Amino acid sequence: MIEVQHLTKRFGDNLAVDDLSFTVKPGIVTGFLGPNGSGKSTTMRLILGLNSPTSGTATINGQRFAELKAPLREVGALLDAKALHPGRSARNQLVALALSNQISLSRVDEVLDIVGLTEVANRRAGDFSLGMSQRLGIASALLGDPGTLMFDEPINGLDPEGIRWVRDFFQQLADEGRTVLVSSHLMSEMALTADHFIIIGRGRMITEGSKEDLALSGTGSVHVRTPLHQEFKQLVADKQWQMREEADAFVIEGVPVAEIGDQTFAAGIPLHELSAREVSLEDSFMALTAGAVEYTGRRMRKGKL
Amino acid sequence: MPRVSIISVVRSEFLKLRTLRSTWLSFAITAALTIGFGALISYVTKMQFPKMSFIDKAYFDPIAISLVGTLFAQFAVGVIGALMITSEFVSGSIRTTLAAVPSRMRVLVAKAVVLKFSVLIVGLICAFAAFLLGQVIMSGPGIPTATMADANTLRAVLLAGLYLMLLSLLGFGLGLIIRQAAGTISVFVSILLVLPLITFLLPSTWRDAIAKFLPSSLGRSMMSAPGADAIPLFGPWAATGILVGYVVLLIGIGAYLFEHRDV
Repeated sequence: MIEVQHLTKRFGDNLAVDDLSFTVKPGIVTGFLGPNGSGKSTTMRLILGLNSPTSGTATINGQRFAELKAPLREVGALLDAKALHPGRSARNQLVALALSNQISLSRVDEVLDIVGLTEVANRRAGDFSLGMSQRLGIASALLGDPGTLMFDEPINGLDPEGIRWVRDFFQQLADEGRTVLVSSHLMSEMALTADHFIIIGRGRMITEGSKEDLALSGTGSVHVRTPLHQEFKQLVADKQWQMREEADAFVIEGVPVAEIGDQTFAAGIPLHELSAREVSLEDSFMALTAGAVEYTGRRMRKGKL
Repeated sequence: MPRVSIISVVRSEFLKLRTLRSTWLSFAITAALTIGFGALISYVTKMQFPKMSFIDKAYFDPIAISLVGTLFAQFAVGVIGALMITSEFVSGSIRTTLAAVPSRMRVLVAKAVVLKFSVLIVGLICAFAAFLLGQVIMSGPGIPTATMADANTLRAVLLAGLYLMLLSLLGFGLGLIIRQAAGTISVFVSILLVLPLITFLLPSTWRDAIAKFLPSSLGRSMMSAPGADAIPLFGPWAATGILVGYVVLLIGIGAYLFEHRDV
């Protein structure tokens, strides 16, 4: 269990983390989402005591990280896959960590096997691809068999097979009752990986909730096609529904599809289409973080750069 | 439950040091410079001895000549010390290290202990080898050489090893403060090479007052017979004390910054 309370971190004029409070519960995979530069990595560093907070607290199982007697047995973290000495072999990177926390060296071989790096264990870590480095980082997080795991952007650089593996693996860790926090800036990816979501932007909490909570908080829309345009428009006006016209359909916002079906039937309006367009998690993520994106690309017009 | 202790962190840091090629390369260079340059300069000195003036012959110090290679090897051990900490900052692996051992002082002490003993052992072996080889090379008719039994020999050879150890710690302390490998090594080299040059531009009274405080001058004091130099130097033990003071000061500042800065 990770508890973050009123966590704030200021770098000069920049508030990287702004009064953030949340709890990461065991037994589920929690997705930590936000655009680049929104403060996800800083928050993780604050939890691990690598940065000291300007104010607020972060605890793991009720203890500050600095108070843990054998940290790797409590929390495993992958912060930056490339943050290792390029000249040391993968195995020795893990052995060094194991020695510091008095973890048996047989566990090193075990975690190498779990992440599938046994064959390349004696190669210099500097020669690893980003995907292999991510696997090595996951191996170091698992080393102490900890109850709490944090992964910062673990999916970057993985091949499709690796992504599938990581997704199942995180789920398995959560099913074993562990606390799993996974950060990403890709909602589409997290939608498949996580059960619970914490979404931040510019260091501030935007929203928190389950998949269903987030999809519902976005406005769903219903597409209607009917030959009787005038009658339908009259009905919409009477009911004061929000409507806009698209090329071949009417789009009604924020009204349940059943309600629209019942009312059109009662009014004797034949329908050629009545379909609810679900808002994807990605759409609601984009909508939620629209104001919090640090760098925005310009939408390209056809034929022009 | 097994927990993090200073011994477990020392074992971890020792493994980290010995699993890098750069460590072995730097130690090989240390040995080559200490022993190789010692032998070369001993040979050159032997050739020139008959042509030396009466005064030069009077000040002739076969111990210091055989150990002169340490003044080249000091750069190699400084690099070992600097890289020991800066490589972690440059690669970002310091975060992995501190996510496994939250107590930064424990990490710092473990690194310093591993560095200290590794360089001291290598330094002592090299100093003994350089001394013995130098004496063998210099021995010849009319040239005074030293044996281990001589009054200053053991002190000079032990302090030569200690000098290398202290210089590696100086590089380590600078690395803690500067955090960048290139910057740290530049400052280290500047202190050892550029500062002496600057002092020689000063009026001689100033120079004599300042030059003896330079690390390289302190090294000369530690490894030679007292009073065998053109400029006034401290005695060997005073010089050792001052150099230890520098190391304590630098690592003290570095430790304070390491404890309080974000990584």
